[in-house]
Amino acid sequence: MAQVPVVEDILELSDEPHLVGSRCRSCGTHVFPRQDGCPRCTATDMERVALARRGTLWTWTVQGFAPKAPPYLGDTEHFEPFGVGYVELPHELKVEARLTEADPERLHVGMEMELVLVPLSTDDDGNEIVTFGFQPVEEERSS
Amino acid sequence: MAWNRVAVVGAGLIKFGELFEQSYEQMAADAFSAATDNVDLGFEPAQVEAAIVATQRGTLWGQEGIGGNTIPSAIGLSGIPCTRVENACPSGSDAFRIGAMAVASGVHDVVLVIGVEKMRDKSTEEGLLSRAASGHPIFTRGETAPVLFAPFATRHMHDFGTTREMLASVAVKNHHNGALDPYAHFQNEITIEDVINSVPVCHPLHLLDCCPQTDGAAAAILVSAERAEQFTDKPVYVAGFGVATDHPYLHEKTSYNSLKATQMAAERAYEMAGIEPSQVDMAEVHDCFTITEILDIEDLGFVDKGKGGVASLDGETSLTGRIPINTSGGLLAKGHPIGATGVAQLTECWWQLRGEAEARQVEMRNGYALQHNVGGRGSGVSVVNILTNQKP
Repeated sequence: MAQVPVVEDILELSDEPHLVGSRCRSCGTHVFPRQDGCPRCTATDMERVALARRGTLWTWTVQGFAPKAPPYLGDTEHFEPFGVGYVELPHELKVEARLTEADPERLHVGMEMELVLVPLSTDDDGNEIVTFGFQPVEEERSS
Repeated sequence: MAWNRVAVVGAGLIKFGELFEQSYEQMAADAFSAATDNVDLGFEPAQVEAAIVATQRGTLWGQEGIGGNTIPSAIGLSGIPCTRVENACPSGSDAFRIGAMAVASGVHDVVLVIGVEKMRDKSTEEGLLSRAASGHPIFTRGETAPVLFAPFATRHMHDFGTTREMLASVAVKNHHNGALDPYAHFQNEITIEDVINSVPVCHPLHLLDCCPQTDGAAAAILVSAERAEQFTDKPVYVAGFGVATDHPYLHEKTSYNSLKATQMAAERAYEMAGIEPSQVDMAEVHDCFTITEILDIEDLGFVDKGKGGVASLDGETSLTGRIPINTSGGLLAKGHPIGATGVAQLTECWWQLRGEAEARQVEMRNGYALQHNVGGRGSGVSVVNILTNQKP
């Protein structure tokens, strides 16, 4: 089964997946998702960059109930609560993302997080639609 | 700043709740009647020169594409200028500000502001929240409203030691006030335990930390201050207002324990009114979630940053506290029919300034009341209006 990203051109799929953003050649501002103009200095000279795979958790919550579908694309029949966090990628920007951890006891501000792929659903052609998420780095080491 | 002074000579609202049996136009017409009935010396509808209508989503009652233009004929004023305002959760408060500017400019002498919203006619799948909360462009189609505000609570708890009980105390206080307000959607008292034991929604928020979906309408009549005494012996005046925008997406924000739009809107309103936060006697603020009220009272300057939770738990914001907040029950108990919310909050301020808030009346030492909304993906826009009973 092939994997396809939930939205084109936001994510490089590989064993070490990373987000695709833009960096302003004039002022150095990073943007995710990509855009052609700089939101800070309004220059239009933006380069495509791979964003850092690791960052720290700035703040978080847990989506405790199934969002209405549509527009939600995930599985609502077998819904499991999922974490939602804002991860600060050092010297780049903050990214809003799903978290692989949904237990409030195991999430705390400032913890180190790493980008992973998260299966979301299956499309009509049988491809696995994936989005991005962050998992605690400690969790990865212990497993 | 040169502007003609503006008076509020009438205000009123309809009982908030699930109003399936009432049409959008009927709700607006009833709110208009409530406002005109409250004009002390009488008011002829034909005196209205223009109307500003606040409705956030026409799609909620199946009138996609229709602006404010169904309202004048519904209230017997077909022909008058009427414009619909949409500015996220502050739609009603911004409609009031725009109505005030129409009078302040000298273009109109008598302007009607109506906020009206049907939140319940369509199912949630078809309704506002599923459509409005499409979220980060790619992260999660279907991002919900509590997921926008809950992370502020997480961070506030982390940075300042705010507790679950402090959050809950906001809902307890607002339900107490709502139980005293005949127009509130919910009129029952709750306890801190009720809040903490209600269904988890988005950590750390539970169901009773969240405002309900409510239908409602409210109206206010604005006139030039020099004509106010034709209508009432107890006019209330517009002292100042402020609006500000901020980054719409939360990942673009630089702080997660304050709302910059609120801070900027408040600063502009205080400057225009020529007052300090300490001169405000009571305020109606945007408590879509308990954490929001805690952020509001800090960002509006009523308590120091980080102290909003402690102040709430200690009763500083109760009816008899140092700075009573949401005496009407707030969004948490009175309800949040988006376009109507700001106008209804202003109606509560109007009653408080006139000494007519009955069991909810608080002491008005300085004669200033503040009304606030914030919204648009969390806090993309904020509006603050300040009213006074002091003649300018």
